[in-house]
Amino acid sequence: MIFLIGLKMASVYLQNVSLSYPIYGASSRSIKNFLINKVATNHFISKDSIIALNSINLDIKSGDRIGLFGPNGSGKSTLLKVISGIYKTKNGICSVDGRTTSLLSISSGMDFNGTGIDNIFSRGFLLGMSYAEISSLKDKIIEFSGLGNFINLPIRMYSSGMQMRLGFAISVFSNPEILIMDEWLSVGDEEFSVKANNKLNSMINDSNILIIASHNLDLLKNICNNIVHLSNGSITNIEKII
Amino acid sequence: MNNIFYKKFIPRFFLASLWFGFCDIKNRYIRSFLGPLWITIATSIMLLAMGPIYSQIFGSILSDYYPFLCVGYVGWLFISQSISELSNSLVNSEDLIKQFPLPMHFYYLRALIRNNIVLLHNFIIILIVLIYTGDYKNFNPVYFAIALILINIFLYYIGSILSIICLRFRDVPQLVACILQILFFITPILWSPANILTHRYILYLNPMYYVIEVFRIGIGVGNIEYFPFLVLGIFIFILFFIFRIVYYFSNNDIPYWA
Repeated sequence: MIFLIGLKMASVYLQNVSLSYPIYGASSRSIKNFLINKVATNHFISKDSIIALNSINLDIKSGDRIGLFGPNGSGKSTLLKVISGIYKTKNGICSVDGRTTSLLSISSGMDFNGTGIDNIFSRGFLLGMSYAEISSLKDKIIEFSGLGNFINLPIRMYSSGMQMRLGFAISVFSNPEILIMDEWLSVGDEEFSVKANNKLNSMINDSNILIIASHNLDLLKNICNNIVHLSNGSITNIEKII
Repeated sequence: MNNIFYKKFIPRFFLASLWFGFCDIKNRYIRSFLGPLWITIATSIMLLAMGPIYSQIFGSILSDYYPFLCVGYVGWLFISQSISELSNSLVNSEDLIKQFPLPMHFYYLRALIRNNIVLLHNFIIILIVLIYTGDYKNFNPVYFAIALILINIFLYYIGSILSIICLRFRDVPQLVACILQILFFITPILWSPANILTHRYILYLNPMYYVIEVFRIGIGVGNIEYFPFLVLGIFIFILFFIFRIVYYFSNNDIPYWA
C-alpha cells in the first residue's frame, strides 16, 4: 500500500446513464397558463422532451485519454456536462472521483467591468480553486497571458483576443485531476497559440484523466487512447488507439 | 450531485459568493463616483420631505415620528430589495448555471451579501437620525445582531423558494414585484400600528409586520417585545421545510429550466 501514497487516483464511472431535455415553450413557462391547464383539464401540460443520452456505459480509469467523436447533436457536450456535474441524471449511476475542471467555455463567468486581476479570482473560484491557490498562481497567470500592465484595466477595454488569452491562462493553471474539454482550445495570435498548445499539452500530461469532445478525428487519434463514437445519444463504437 | 470534489469544498463557495457579492457592489461604483450612495441620498431627501408632512397626517410628534419612519423605511428597502433580487438570482445567472456545477446556495448568498452591503450604505441615514434625536441610547448590539441574523435567514429562505419558482415560471417575478408593492402599503412603515383601531387582523396576518418590527426593535426604536422575534423564528422554521421540499423536487431540474 505504501507506494500508493502520493499517487493520485481519479476515476469516472457511468452506468446506464440516460438524459432527456424537457422542452419548455413560451406558454409552459407561465404560471397562469400552468394553473389554468391544471384546473381546466386536470393534468399538467404535457412535457415533450428530446432524448440526448441513451444508456451510456463508460468506465474511465486513471491515465485514460478519452475522445468523444460524433456529429452535431450526438450528445457529446451533454455527456461532458453530465460528467462535470452540471446536469444531474435521473436514472443510472454517474460517479466522478477527483478534482474536475471543465473547460467548456473559457470566457463564461467573466465580469467585463472588473479588472484582469478581479477576473482571475472570479474565474478561479468558479473553477473550484481556493483563495490561497489563486493567490499563489496569480503571477504565473499574468505572466503567461502576456497582458502586462493591461491586467489592471477593466476587461471591457481588452481586445477580444486579449480576453480569450486571459480566460485561457486562468483555465490552464487550475491543475485538475480530471480535465474536461469541449473542442481543442486555440486562442490568440501565432506566437501565443504555440505557447498555448505547449501549455495545454503539459496540462493534459499532468492530468490523470482527459475527456475531450471534438469533430476532428485526427486530433483525437493523436492525443487519445480511446475514441468513443457517439451517434444520436448512444455509444456506437469504442475504438482503442495503440 | 455526484461529484465528490464539490461536496468536499462547500466552504470555498461561501468565500466565492462573498467575493462575487463585493464585485457586484464594486461594479456599481465603477461608472459613478457615489455608486450605491446615490440611493442613500435619494432616500434621505425623500424622508426629509416626507417626515414633516406625514407626521401631521398621522398626528404624531415629529421627533417621535422621524426615527420610526427612517428606520422602518430603510429596513423595508433592505427587505424588499433582497426578496426581489434573490428571486431573480437564478434567472440572472442562467449562463453560470449551465457552465459550472455550483451549488444554488452560491447564487442566493451572493445576492444576500450584496444587499447587506447596500444596507450598510443606507445605515448612514439611521445613524444620523438616531444621533440627532438622541435615540441611539436605546441601541443594544445584542438585539441588533439577533434581529439582523433572523431577518437574513428569513430573507434567504423566502428568496430561495421564490427563485426556483421564478426560474421555472417566468411570469412570477412580476407577481413578486406586485405583491411587494401591496405589502409596502399594508405594512406599518409610514404609519404606526397604534393608528389601526379596527381590522387589526390584516396587520397580524401580514408576515412583513413582524419582520419590520424585529428590525425596529433591533435598532432600538419602539418598545422591546419578544413576540415578533418568536413569530419570525416560527416563520423561519416553516420556510426551512418548504425550502427543503421545493429544493428536493426541483434540484435536479434547475439546469434544464435555466
